[in-house]
Order: sequence, then C-alpha cells, then structure tokens
Amino acid sequence: MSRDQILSNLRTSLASSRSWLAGEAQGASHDIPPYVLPPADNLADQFTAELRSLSGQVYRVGDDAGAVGQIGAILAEKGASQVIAWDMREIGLAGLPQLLAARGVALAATDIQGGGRHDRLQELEPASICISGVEAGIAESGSLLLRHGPGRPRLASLLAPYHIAVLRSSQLVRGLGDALAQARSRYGDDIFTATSNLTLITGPSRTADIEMTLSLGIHGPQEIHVVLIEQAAAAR
Amino acid sequence: MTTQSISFYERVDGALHDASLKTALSRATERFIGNRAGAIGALSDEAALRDTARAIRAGALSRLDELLAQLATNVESRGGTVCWASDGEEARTYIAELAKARGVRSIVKSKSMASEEIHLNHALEEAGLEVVETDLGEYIIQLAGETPSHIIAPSIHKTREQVSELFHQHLGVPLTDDIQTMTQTARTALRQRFLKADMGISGVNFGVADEGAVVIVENEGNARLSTTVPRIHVAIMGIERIVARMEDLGVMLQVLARSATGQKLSVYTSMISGPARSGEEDGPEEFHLVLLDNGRSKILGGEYAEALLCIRCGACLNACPVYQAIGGHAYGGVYSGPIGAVLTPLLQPDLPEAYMLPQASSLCGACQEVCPVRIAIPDMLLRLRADAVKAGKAHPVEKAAMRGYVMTMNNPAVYRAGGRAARLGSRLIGRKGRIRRLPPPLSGWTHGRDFPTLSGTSFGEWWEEREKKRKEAAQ
Amino acid sequence: MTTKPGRRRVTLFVTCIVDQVYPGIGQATAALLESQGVEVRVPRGLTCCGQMAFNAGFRDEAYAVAGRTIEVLRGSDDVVLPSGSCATMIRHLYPELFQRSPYAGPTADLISRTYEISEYLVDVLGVADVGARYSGSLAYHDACHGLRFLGLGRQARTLLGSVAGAEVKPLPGHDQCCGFGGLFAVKQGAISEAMLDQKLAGIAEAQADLIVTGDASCMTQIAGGLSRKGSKTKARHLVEVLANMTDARQ
Repeated sequence: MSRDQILSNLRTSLASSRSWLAGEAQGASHDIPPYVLPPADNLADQFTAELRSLSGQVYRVGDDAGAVGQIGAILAEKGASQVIAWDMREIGLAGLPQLLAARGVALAATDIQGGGRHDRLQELEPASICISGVEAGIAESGSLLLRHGPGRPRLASLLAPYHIAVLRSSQLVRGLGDALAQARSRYGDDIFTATSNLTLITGPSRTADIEMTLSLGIHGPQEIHVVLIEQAAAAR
Repeated sequence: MTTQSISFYERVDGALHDASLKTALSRATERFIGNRAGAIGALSDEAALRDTARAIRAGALSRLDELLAQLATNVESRGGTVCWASDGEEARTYIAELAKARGVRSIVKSKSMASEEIHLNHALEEAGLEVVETDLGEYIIQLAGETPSHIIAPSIHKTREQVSELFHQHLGVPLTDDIQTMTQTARTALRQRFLKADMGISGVNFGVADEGAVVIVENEGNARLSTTVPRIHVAIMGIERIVARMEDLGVMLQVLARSATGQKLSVYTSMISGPARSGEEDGPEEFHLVLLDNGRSKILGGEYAEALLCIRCGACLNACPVYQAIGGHAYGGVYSGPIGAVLTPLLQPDLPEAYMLPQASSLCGACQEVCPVRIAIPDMLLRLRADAVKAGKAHPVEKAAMRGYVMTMNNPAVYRAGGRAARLGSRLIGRKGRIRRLPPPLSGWTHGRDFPTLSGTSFGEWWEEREKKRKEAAQ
Repeated sequence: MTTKPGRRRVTLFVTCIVDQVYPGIGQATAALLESQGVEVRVPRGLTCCGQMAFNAGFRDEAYAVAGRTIEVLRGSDDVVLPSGSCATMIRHLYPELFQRSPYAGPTADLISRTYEISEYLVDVLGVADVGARYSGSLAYHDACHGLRFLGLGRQARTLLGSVAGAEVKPLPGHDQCCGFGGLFAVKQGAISEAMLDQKLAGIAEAQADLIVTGDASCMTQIAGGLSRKGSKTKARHLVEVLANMTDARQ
C-alpha cells in the first residue's frame, strides 16, 4: 500500500540525508518570537493603524453601549435587514440582541449541515452583514484570530460583503507568536477538539491578479469593521 | 500542454518578443520586489527570523517519516480521511472516484500548485466533473486555457484588456477597462459556483503534524469558501510541506507573507483540522487529505533535498533577472523561475528539455539572497548541469570545446600559443579596437554586443619580460 | 628569493581572461599591490580556476583544470585575484568540486589565504585611499559573485570614495546581474542580451563617464553593450581606476 511505500522511501532517503538536515535544523533557534517588529507603546493604537492601512475600519469605543451604538450606525448605513452572525452569547456584547430586534434585523439561520445545504446557502446569500466576535487581535499586523465552532459559524465572517467584528482591548496581543502561544496555553491539546477551524483575518478580501492593481472584496467581505472596546481593566 | 510542444528556445524567443508580457512582468516583479524589501526590512531581526524559518523546515524534513505519520493519524482521529498518493495517478484516481461515489457534479478549486503538478483538472473533467478555479488569477487562465505563469500571481502575463475580452466572451458581460468592475464580475459569477458546489479542492501551505491540521493562506477568500461551503473538502499537500508544531506557524506565516507579497500576514489564513465537528453549523461533512509524494521521497535522499525546504513564496521568481526577462511559461513546467529550474527536472523529469532549465541562469545568486529559507539554488543548478552532462545531454560542440579547454589550460605551452593566435586573430577581424562579429560558436556573443580586440602581449608575457629586465638591471 | 621580515608577499592570480584579454588589469593589480609595499609574485603556469567547465556542468574537466591550479598554488603566499567571480570559484565552489578527493586538504588551505583585490586592500592591508585620481564621474556595478558569495561591495566603494576628483554617482540597479554568466552569455544569448538591456537602461540613467566593476567578465558584457550602442560611457575594472590606468586602453 502507498502509505507503507512512501514511509519506507522516506526512511531510506533519510538514512542518507538525516544528518545534514538535522545539522541545518540545529543552525538556529527554534524559539518562536512572540512578535517580529519593534514593539509599539500602545497595542490599540498599533492595531488601529495597521488595520486602517489595509483599508479596514476601526471604531474605538469605551464600553459595550458604545459598541452597540456603533454597530447600529453601520447597520443603518448599510440598510441591513438580515445578518449572518455568531450566536449572540458567543459575541457577548450586552445590548446587541436588543439592537437587532429593535431595528427589525433578522438573524439568518446559519446551519447549512445535512440535506438542503444548497437551498439554505441561497437563503443566506442576500445578507449584507456578518457579525462575529474574535479570539484575539494581533496589533502588529492588524489581524483578527477567529476560533470557529458551535455557535461560531465561519460564514459569519465570510459570506456577506460587510463584516463587523467585536474586539475587546483585553484580547489584543502584540504578535502572531503571542496569539498562537495564548491559544496553546488556553486550550492545550484541545485547540481543535470542538472546532475544525481557526482563521486569521488581516483586512478585507483583496486581489491584485489583474495588472497588480489592488481590488477589494473579490470573494470575502470587501469591508471589515472592527469595533474595539477599550474598557479600563478595573471596570470589567 | 501547448507549452511543451515547442522548444525551450522558441518559448524564450516568443517571450522576449512579447511586448505586453514584458510590461506585465516588469510591473509585477518590480512591485513584488519593492513590497518584499519593505516588509522584510521592517523586521526587528530579519536574519534571525529567516534562520529560524530554515531551521524549522530542516528539522521537519529530518523527521518527515515520523511527522507525516503523526499528521495522518491526527487527521484521522479528527474524523478526516487520508489518501497516501505515490504519484499523480493515485491522487487523481482517488479524487475522481471519491467524487463519483459521493454523487459530486460540481467542484470549486482554490489555488494549488500540487494539483497543477498532477494535472488534476484535466483528469476530473475527463471524468465528467465540472471544475472551476476560483482564485481570480487561476480563473482567468482557466478561461484562457492556459497554465499559471507565477506561483503567487498566476495571471500576471495577462493585460486588463485581455481579461476584459475573456469575461466578455465567457460571461457575456460588456467590455470594460475598470479592474474593480472585472473583479465584481468574477465575484458574482463565482459566487453561484461556490454555493452550488458539492466538493471544494484546495492546496496546503503547511501541514501541522501535532494538530493534524492543514493551513491554507490566501488573500481573496476563495479558499475559505471552497473549504467551508461544499459538503466535501479535499486538500492536496506535497508531503514535504510539513511543520512539527502549530507554534511554528508564528514564524513560517510571517516569512511567507512578507516574501510573497510584502504583507505582514496574508488576508486569510485558515487552519483546518478535519471535517466540521458536531454542532458546527458550517464547514464540510467530509475532509480528505491527499498526501502527494510524486518523487519527493526520493528527492529527500539526494543532493537536492534542500529544494524541499521551499515554501512556494515566489520571491526567487521576482528577484531573478532571467524570470524577469522571459516570464513563467517559457520554463515549460508547472514551477517556473529559479526554484522551478530546480524542481522541474526533479519532479517532471520526463518533460522534454527539463534538463535545459538549469542552463537558463546566469548564477547571479539573487534567488538565494531573497529566499526566506535560504535555499542554495545556484549550487543546485550547477549540480543539475553536471547531471545533464553525465547523462550525455551536452551538445557535441560544447563537449569538444571542453576537451580543448582542458588541453589548453593544463598545458602552458598550448595556452600561450593559443592565446597568441587568438589575440592575433582578434586584431585581424576587429576594427578600431572592437569586434562586431565573432565566428561560430561565439557568434551569439556579437549578436548584440561588441568584443574588444586583444593586445599583442598577454599579462604573463609582459610580467616575464618585466622580471627579466629587473633581474638584468639588478646585476 | 629573500624577503625583508614583515614585508608582505602575495601570489597574483590574474585569471585567464585578464591574462589574455585585459593584460592592463593584471598590470594595474600588480601596480596597486606594489604601491602598498607588497611584493608580488606570478607563478609561471598559472592559467584558469576552472570555473568555465564547472559552471557548464563538466565536473571532470573542471577537476582537471582546478586540480592543476591547486597544485600550482600549493604552499604559496596569500593569493590575490582581480575577480570576485574566480575568487568565488575557489572559496565557494572548490569545496564541492574537491570533496572526498585528495585535494580536499589543499583546498581548505588555499581558501584560507585567497582574497579578491578590493578585499585584500581594504580588509587585509587596511587601506582606504590608494592615492588615485580621476577627473570625471563614475558609478559602481556590483558583480554578482563577489556581492552575494563573498560579501563584497563595501570595499570597492570605500576605495572609489577616496579617488581624488571623481564624482561617484549611484547606479540604478547596481546589484542587478548584467547577464554575463560565463557560457550563459553565448548559450542563452537572447536572455543574456535582454538582461544586458536592463543593465544598460540603469547605466543610461546614471549618466556617468565610467561604469566601474570588479570583474573583467561583467566589464566585457557591459562594455560590449555600451560599444554596440555607441554610448560615450565606458566600462572599466576597479583596479584600472585605482591605478590611474583608465586611459591605458581604448
């Protein structure tokens, strides 16, 4: 069988090249740097500047009420009637369910599993807004780390043209190394036990495949709106 | 493949005379080079990060047998299925039969060099399946019936006018010169393909052994859609693309994005471990990982093992002055540029003239200089040239010239006499200190360049004369 | 031959192309070294480093030529070459050519005492100014092998910066290959010419009287292109500028 053949070939090959490869492997530290750029003073400022440089929107608010107000403004501007969202408990923003109800904005049914998958996808397609929470925000690249899973559908940051993400300043880390180390310490060996997917999002969907000219929103959201809640530590 | 039926020299000649290709290539490579330089230059410690990237890759390869088995076991424990494919045929058959067994009609694909390597689309279409490339660049060249000309930007050889014409022909939309309009046309056309697809096929940037995960890096969102929306996800991974720990991504993703496009991170990085878990509302019901060997396990044991460190960032293509001049198609293989000149003779040895690709390099070393894992590409090109000579592929004129070369250089008397004759000859055919046309086999030189006429005395003769005079003066 | 204690002595390996095509470059190199009080020796019978055959993939032929060169240079003083490319052949490629051969030991010894001329002047002798003068403007082309395999470039710029009367101009694409590449220039002539065109475009932008480089091979390529295009700009070897020999040949 091919598995055994491939592994056997690999072992034969490694018999002659393992020592060279191992030598190269010892040529440098395997320690993962927590971040790779000169550290900035303020993570929220750095995150904001980075994401804005990628044409992402960042709204800095002081509390949950401020965040809800901001989301309300975006919903109004986009004229949304249906949103594809994480379960409200997973987003964890006080007042958001009430806002959606008050505006008459429907929460789309996001479960596409089982029969009728294609039909349900067609029903989701017209939604103009995605709303999600995040696992972490990475300051030096303006990235969001999303840990998907039950109540946290991937489509809620993917399918619609506008993606709103709720980020708390306590979730900000400096670099990718930090974010991965944090995930490891938080979940240990169970990072993928309850979920099949972690996604890093760094700015709006983009392409430069035609004449190297940047164009936003090719397949994923063309706009990303991050509502950054900067609560003082004591207030939480 | 159309590119294989004409000779390497004809492809090069065609490329060098293609004015729009030249414009497109210089626009793309200059942009990529500038973006990369800015992003790499901003790092706190560029050298250390690249050293670590190299060490991580080498360490993973040094226990590839163990890590690959670990990856497969973990994928299976997450509910995924693993196909070990020794060659393209096994991979193609597995995927086609899977599609048939599951009643798949329509397939969406996100960019995968491994699938290009095994000509997967062709096989799936033969099996009656509808396959759509969804990366914008790949979609464009699929409509055009072509192959990628760049690892990162497969359609850089196409102008906006050509793209607009393709969309007009195939999608019935009006002609436009607005790129944003074309992008939205592609979004609309492809969106329905995603929603109706039964299977998504993706490549893999990194397989993470300890988590049984595959990592897919992209900017458009087509890979996310391909791996989230259809009920079946098939990921194709070259067996060498492995890292031991999820934490290693903290280095590899950083050097990949910076080297490829100059981004700090690509827009989307999906880490996928198995099919959707119970309670997950989206994601595929089935996850299949195809581990493609196709010659890699053999390469690992030889003097080209270092080529397997490659993370397919494309930086060496952009930096290469030969690639800048001729573009990707001239190479004739799936992989182009400096790393393509190494990989093609190794992975596609039956490709006619694959042995010639290592000749298409001035050995300037720009590729190695930008490589995020510091692959010594020029050294490997030299070894491949030696392999070709050993295999008897050198031109008879070159063989004769080399015999003459050794005879001349190793016999000072012949060297001196030959030198005198050549210097005299140069003055016979040259005028005003320059030669405008050399005889064959050197006539290629004077096609676009002059050669100087040579002085009557060699340095060696001058030196001996000087020493003789000095001795006489001292006596 | 006796030497005064403390007096430096080097073996000059001018390389085959300089010996036969550009004797002036060899003379300039010798003159530069002697002006620094270094005694220069040129062993009879030294011809070629073997790079032409090695780069073409003819390793047996390269072994024969380079093996003889190793023999000629065995036990000599420091070896100095007016070529980053041939110095790269010795320092970077001889180890692969001679691995597991009787020459492996002599190779390591040779590598430990082999220098490119600008490297020898600046890094070994500690010279920054050789007292040259040139009235005109010049721009420096980094020859690939010296730049990327020996880390050269700084030394030449230091020396050129001290040339009295010379205006040193930036060369756009100074580290971009000129397209020479040995037999590549003939076997892949069309690609080589396309690369040369790029180089010449940068040179035209620089608007310098002289393009200066550290390898006779690149110089031949660039000068050949400039000559064919009828440009007024000339290409010269670094040592010709440093030894005030820029007018020595047409």
